[in-house]
Amino acid sequence: MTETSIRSFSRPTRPGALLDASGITKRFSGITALNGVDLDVQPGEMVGLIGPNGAGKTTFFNCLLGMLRPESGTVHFDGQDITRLPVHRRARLGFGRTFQRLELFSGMTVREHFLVTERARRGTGRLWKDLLNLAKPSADEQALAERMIDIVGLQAEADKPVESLSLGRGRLVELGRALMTQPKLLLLDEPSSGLDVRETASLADKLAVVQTEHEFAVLLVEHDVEMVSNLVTRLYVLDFGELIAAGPTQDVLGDEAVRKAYLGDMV
Amino acid sequence: MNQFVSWLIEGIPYGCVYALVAIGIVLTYKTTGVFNFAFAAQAFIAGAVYVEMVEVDQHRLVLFGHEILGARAFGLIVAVLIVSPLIGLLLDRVLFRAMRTSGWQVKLVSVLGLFVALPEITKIALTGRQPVPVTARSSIPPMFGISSAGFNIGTHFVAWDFTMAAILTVFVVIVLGLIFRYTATGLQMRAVVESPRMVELAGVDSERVSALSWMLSSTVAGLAGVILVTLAQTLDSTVLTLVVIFSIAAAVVGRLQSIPITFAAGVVLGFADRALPDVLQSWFGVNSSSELAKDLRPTLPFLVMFLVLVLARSIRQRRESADPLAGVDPPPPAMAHTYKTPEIERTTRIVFPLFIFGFVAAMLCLVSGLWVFRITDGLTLAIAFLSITIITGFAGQISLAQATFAGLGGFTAANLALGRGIPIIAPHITSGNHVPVLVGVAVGAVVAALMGALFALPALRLGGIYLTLATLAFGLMVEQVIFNRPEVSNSAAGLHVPRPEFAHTDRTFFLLTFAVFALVAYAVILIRRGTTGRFLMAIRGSETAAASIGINATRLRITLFALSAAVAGIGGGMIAMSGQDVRVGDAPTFPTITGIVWVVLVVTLGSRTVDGAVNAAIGFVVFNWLLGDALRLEPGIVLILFGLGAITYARHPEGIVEYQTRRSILEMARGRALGARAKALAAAHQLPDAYTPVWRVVLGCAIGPGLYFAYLLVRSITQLHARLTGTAPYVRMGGHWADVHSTTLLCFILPSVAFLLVWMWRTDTALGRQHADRRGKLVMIGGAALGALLGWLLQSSGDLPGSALDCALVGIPAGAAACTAVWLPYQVQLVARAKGWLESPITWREGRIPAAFTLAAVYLYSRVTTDTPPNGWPVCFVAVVFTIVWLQSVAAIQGAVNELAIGNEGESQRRAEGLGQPEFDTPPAEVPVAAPTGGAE
Repeated sequence: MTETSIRSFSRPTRPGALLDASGITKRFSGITALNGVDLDVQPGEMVGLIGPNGAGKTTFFNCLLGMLRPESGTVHFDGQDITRLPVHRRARLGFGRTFQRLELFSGMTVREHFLVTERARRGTGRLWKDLLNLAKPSADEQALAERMIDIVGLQAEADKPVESLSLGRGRLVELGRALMTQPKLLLLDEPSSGLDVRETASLADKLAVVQTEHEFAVLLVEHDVEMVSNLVTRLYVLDFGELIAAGPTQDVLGDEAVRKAYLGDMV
Repeated sequence: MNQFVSWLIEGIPYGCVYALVAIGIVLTYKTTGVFNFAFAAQAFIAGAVYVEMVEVDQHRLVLFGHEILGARAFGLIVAVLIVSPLIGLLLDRVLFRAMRTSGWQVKLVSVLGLFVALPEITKIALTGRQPVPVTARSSIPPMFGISSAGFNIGTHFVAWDFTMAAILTVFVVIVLGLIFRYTATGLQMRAVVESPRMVELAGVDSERVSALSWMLSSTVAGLAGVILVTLAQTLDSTVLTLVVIFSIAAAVVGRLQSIPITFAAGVVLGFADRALPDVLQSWFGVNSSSELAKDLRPTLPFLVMFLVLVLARSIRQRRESADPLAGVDPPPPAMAHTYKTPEIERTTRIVFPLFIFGFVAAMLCLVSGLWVFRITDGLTLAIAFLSITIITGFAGQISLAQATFAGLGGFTAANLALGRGIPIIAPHITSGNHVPVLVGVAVGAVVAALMGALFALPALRLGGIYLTLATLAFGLMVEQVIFNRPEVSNSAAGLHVPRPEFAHTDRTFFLLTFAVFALVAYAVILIRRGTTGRFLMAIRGSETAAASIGINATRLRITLFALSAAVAGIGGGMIAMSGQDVRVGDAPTFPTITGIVWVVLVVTLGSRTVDGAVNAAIGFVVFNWLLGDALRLEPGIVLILFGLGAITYARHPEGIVEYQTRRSILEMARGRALGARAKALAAAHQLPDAYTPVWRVVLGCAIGPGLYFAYLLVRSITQLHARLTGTAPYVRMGGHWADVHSTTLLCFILPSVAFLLVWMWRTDTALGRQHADRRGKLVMIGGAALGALLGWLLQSSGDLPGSALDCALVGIPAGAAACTAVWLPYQVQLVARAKGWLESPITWREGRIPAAFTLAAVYLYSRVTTDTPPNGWPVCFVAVVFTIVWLQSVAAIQGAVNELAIGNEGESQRRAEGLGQPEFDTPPAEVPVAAPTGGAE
């Protein structure tokens, strides 16, 4: 297979895609971080995005989520053009995400993280309600938070501030927070970085369990090829801002160009 | 054309001054991340030094009969090349070095403190000195050997020093540009701001680099100051204000980045400022001497700044660059209320209503009319301060326009109450009828909120420092263009503001103010507890993550900005009613500069809690009284103290009130833990002698003052009873009952003082046995001697009343206590070191505050003699604060001694960590650290 044939694999977008990003280009003062990247995710599908350090994976994520504005290209989500929407609007459309470097709400407990997320999802928090002292979490909000605590298995830490949690637990909190938004698409940015083998495995397990239950789509950016290949059905490979391969996981991992560019001595 | 040349000739020299100060601002912002509002003040100091040197005229360098350096050249050298860099170095060492890695808020607030304090310091240093015109307009020429005073361009005369000012400015710009672009130091300077730690990792001494850049920029400011003095021929604060505004505007046009653009902007602003009145006259027919022209002229820089800030895309998109190594810092401490144990909460629930009830009752019956007025004034201020709690404490934005919003509220209320309608917007709405003033206040709040929202919509897209600058521009602009309009403020006469019918006396008005305050405070608490507060906490934790769960930070901030403007508006209305008039002019009610003082005050004392705002307001009133009325110090001193107080913000960004609360709660937790262990040891008969329960010591020290306050209370009540019933009071004592020298006071206090001295002596002995320094007795006796000497000296210089013997006697315990307060912690440190502990439970630094308090409080108390109890209450307030500080210190020292005796090292370390962050991970087994929500144990 030549490189061009792999590229053509991802085009044209299959109809009914949940997420369809096409031609995303992003430059940082002269350096091209992304060059015309196309990517799509079908509903309920688990897709991986791999690439060496500096390939532009996180930049691509940030373009998808609106934290960065791409110079060109469009992002469609659920049939809607979201290229110019601000981050929080995209989140409300059904994007959930975790971060490569932990981004937790310091000073809040695990439970409060989930409660706040639920309130934000419902969009029922109004200033006048605060002023009338009507802002206490309702029973069903409490129950939802409780359930999420069970799902991510943080019962013992539920009422501890997140600063006191280990990195692995912190990742679970982020996962739970992202799940609380009831996403249609979950974007995970290197969830295994900084975790040991055991923690990575347990995270992957939990993810697989929750995913089969709720059937949301997942876009996974990872370093850990093993974790990716166990979870996802399709794989995209980025290198220096270019998409160099896309297709079913095993095909891509077996591809010569990918091996040369990225996996090299690893596989 | 002819006119154009004259604008150029007159405008450019001023433009050069603006450009130089602006370049200094850009320079420090680029290299240290500090936006130095105080630069103009620094320039001013240099100018003053120059004038001084020229005036004295004693130094000149004469070689071979030729005068090489004249007085002016000497002045120039001393002012620009010696004094200015020294000021820069001093500021760096004292202030900015400590906050190199702090966030922009910390840096900004400290600089604002400086901005408030420096001009006052300069003013005090210059009082009694006439604004001295420098003889003739030829300050620089002798240095260059140019004898003629100027030359002609066509028909226009150009003075040499004008030319030299321009040449020097261009020279400075070129040199700075070269330094930045081509030298290693320049590169390091640019790198230091990104991450001092990163630069240090690369082997660069970042402290040296930042000191260097402070000295450099201060020199630039100094040069500007000297040129300014020679141009303006005067040293007064209006010139200073102008320079501040123009230079900030120029710096903003340069986007706080580009030195050449900043330079150009400064020069163009100077030119435009000169040209504007003429242009207005010839194009729009506005008489250049009219009020409008006068008001419009200073608005030019605000307009420029505001437009650039709001319209320039590159600024809008720029976010404060985050230090990549910021993760190294420990997380900020949690709020004190998260540490509260159920017991504390239960106590609060009982004590707090009692306190409020007692306070209101005292205000209605006991406190004298003057103090009712003052406290009410403080409460109205507190309402306005709560607006800062909302915008700064909750939303994390620093707004300098809060006084302006208060003014909008105040002026609207006044105009409505007088039947003048809402000025400018709807002048005829009331059709001449007087509106109830409270309705006016409500409308004022709405007007302020609308203006706030209108301003916030474009401005809140700016982050951090740019928003702050925009608020400053907005505040100054509204003050100039709106408040100064006669239809708004009735020119110099001001407007009389009535109070509501039912609350026209001071005491009833106090009740009204208190009710309004309570409502607003409750609303603020509800917001913090409610969804909004949670969202804001999330945003503070991580703005990206907050957005990723669908929180719209911008909208929330705009809402809060409007809300905070509304609260400020209410506060402004209440302030107007309290003072019963609002005015502009010489003593304006709502000058923008006040807004800066407000922010500094609230943030220093605690911007995230209601008690922070109350403490700031009441503290402001009490200190104003104490320093102004009671001690008859310059009014500027209060501003200087509060301004410099902002420096503590760098160390405790959560505010002093918050810090103290948390500290004492943790101290209590430690005390309980040690108490439990002591009980266990006592049961096993292993309790060492060095252990003394803290409560025993505290009680011994507290009992005297406690009884005295009880006595005062009884006395006041009987006096009140006597006044109400018209009988003679039961307790009759003449003379200075609350004076330090009075016998009444002494018979209550002396036993406690004796107890304190004995305790200090014994503790020192006990510590001396444990490998500490054995010279403790010497220190105590020396302190006592020094105190006696000081008392005697102060008395003989006429600073203290009473006899010399009295003062010396009072000085003995005060001096001994002050010395020991530092000495004992030092001893504890020594013992801890001898035990091999890495960290001492207490350090001598913690003794500095009680020591300073002892001396200050005894001095104040001696100076303030009072006659009847009601007038004495403020004195008591000061005394209570002093007593609490001392008891805390005693408890801390005894606690540390106990920890040495029966604690272990880990405990003290955990405690030290606990001061930085909550002890959640592994609470020591015995310490009942609260669950973070204060809920389940």
